[in-house]
Amino acid sequence: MEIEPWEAFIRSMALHKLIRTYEPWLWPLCETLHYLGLSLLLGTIGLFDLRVLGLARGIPFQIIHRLIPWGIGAYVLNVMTGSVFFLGHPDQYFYNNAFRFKLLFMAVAGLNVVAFYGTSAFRELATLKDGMEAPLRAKIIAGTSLAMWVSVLVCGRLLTFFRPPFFH
Amino acid sequence: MIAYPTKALTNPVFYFKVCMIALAAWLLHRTGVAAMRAPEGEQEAEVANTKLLAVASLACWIALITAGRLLAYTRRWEMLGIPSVG
Repeated sequence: MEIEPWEAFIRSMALHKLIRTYEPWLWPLCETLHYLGLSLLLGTIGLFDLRVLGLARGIPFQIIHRLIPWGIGAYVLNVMTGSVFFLGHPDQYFYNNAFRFKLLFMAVAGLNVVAFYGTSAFRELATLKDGMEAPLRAKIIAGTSLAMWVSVLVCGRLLTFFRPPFFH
Repeated sequence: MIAYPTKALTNPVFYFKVCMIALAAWLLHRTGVAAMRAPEGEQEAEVANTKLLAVASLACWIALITAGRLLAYTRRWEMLGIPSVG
């Protein structure tokens, strides 16, 4: 298979060479951080989603919402560690359908964040008293978020099963 | 473990992970008991104790996830002469 220009470019990067040089310990380290990150992301954002969907109504939204910065931090950590994987072995991810679906679900999750904070959906929630039910719109957004992050996680796990042969 | 028992049971990290699961469960139970005994802002010693349990639980989970990921790098069953599958 012919090497395409974008891949040739990545392979010419100093960062690519650095990752490949230190791969024996850098790879497992980034994988471990990636796993800690996904646990934190699902454990904070997922918890908030479940609260909006109606679980643990005794806890006010505002309290659980304080966990969101941890979820954002986890997201940043995972984009960084994920980039190490992609830059290290670009063909293993680019020619992998599980990876393509993973990116798709991440994009939907991103649009969902815009739908939540960009509209009055978030402000509506903030005015609710303890124990009150969230409006349908917020519930749809929370359900989408939960479904997307679980799908991203599943696709990530499936990456190794859809891995193409080493082309280059 | 059931699919590849030799792979799991010959890896010392697997036993570490099992211990961490047991410890995490025990710490969760203890945290629950401590939190119930000291509701909102009561005796400082009780609150400090609950916090200590929470920190221990967090450390336990981090160790558990790390060990879980490193299982793939620490397996030794090939050394027994059993061909690796998959």
